[in-house]
Amino acid sequence: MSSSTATSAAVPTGSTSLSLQRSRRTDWLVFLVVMATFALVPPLLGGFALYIATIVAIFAIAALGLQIMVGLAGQLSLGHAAFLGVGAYTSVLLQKLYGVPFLAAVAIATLASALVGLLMGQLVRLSGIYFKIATFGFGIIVYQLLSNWSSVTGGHTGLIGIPPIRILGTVFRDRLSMFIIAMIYLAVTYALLLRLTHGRAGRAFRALGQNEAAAQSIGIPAASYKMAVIAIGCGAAGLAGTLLPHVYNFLNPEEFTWLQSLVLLIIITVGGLGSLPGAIVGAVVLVVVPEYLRAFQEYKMLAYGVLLIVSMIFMPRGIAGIVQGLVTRIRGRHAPAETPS
Amino acid sequence: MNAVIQILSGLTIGCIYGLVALGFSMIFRAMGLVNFAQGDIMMLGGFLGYTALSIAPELPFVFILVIAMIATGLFGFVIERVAYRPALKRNADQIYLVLLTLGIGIVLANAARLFWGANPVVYKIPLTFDIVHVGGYPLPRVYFYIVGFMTLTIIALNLLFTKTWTGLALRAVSQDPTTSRLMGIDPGRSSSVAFVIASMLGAAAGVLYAPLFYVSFDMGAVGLKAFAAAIIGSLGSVFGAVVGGLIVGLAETIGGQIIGTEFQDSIAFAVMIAVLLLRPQGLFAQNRRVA
Repeated sequence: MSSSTATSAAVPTGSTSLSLQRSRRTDWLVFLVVMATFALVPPLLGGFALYIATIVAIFAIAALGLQIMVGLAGQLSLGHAAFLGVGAYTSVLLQKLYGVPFLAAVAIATLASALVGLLMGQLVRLSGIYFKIATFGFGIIVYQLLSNWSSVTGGHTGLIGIPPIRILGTVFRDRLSMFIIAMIYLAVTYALLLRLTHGRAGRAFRALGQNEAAAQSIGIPAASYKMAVIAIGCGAAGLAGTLLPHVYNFLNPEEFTWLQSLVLLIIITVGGLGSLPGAIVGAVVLVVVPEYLRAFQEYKMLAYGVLLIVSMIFMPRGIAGIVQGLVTRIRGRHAPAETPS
Repeated sequence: MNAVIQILSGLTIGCIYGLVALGFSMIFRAMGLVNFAQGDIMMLGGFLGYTALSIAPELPFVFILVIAMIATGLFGFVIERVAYRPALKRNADQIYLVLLTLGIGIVLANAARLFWGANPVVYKIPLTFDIVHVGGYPLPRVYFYIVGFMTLTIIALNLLFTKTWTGLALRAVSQDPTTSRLMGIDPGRSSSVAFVIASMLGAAAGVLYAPLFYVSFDMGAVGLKAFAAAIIGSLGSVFGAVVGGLIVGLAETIGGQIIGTEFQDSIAFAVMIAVLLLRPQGLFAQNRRVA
């Protein structure tokens, strides 16, 4: 397989390497804008906003991974919350039972989630609709294990007494330091995934998402790339999961239900399928808005469902698509099509 | 003795899964769409039956069943027209379609919650408590309704597929949508028919499930196990959907006894994954289009 053939499959004909370069620069510019906004706005608002921003960052990390998996490579996962759960429980149990240091526990938990994802991918080496339903089933199985394997996971009541984050002997437990740690997580994940999408793997993922048979016919090893993207998506979810218990100060299987998997899918759809900044914006919308509408809690899922349908009908490329369209219009020229529609 | 009752109850609940799974299969055959809202259609049928019952408490159960089926069938007709067909016409991506059906499922479940409340409701009719003794085994009377309805459904579908032009058109579309369109078959009509039948079967499953257990806004999850059933019996196969339903029903009842009832939902999907490992297209795969 030569990388030039992969390029021609992933990039629509007509776009030159110049426009490719320009779109890369735009991507990094967007990265800077997004991260700068995160670094400035919540600290200025202070207090509760820091807490919300921390949760936004956690969901954004998971959504970024899911975006690569679903939006780019077309591997729809209907049980993604399970991998957040694997990450959260692995990390907490390692710290609690075996006294593993925080950073090591995070690394192991992320790896564990990716491995469980690979296990799922290998178990259900399926394509199309069979894969989707198998991921759904996998999510249910993981959830039931978490809620019923009481001796280890604490069952439905969950775990309390989450050890505080301790890095090199310093304990971090106030809102600001949690926020800063979450921001570092997010920036690293975002930057790594952005680099990945610019490289050969990113082109292969896109080709896979657009037409698996065509990708395979031009020599892209579809099976290995599929496994790779599943591992990335699940690993990112696991990484996000490791922070969750420290922020909430407890751990409970109800955070990892089928509904949470749906919420993650809604995040990337509303933000714009295939767009990394879209995943982050989607996380902002779906985490922040419900916080301020707590009085209407029972309408929450209804509103999510309506939001999903409406955004699919009126903005099939999500918020990212709308922003891109606006920018293109302002610039008055045709921007290169970066994201697959 | 206890084992016999367990097996019978497993087979009966398996019939319920089979009915919902038939709906999945019908829609998949006709339009290549996996309708994740099918479980919520079952819930809707159950609630519509409940409403019919609270308006006319004296109505025989069979009428309740028919009313819920007709009302839900109409609903299915409308939703196919306004939501799914425009998306399919535009040749929307599979991911788009799955998310659309998921969205419709969420809206249905939560609208039902606003309308009928968050607490499960029970059909307050004698049938709910009626026990018949057959050969010394006490069995709920509704078991016979369920098995009877399943038998009738299989016969009716068989007649539909073999004896009518509509059924022939449905089969043709499932084998090759493009060619069948060239032969003058209206794909829109086929998908309407499939959706209406699927919704009616889903509603029947909801109404028949109600006297055994309850109806609640989140029982779409029960219907989701019918997915596992449809997949085990190969998506698109009518016969397979029924057998898949029975397998899931039996496996979760027997497996629940061995491992623990709290793992019942997992068992259905574990069986599905195991079957897919051995036969990636399910037990009754034919040479059909793959999504």
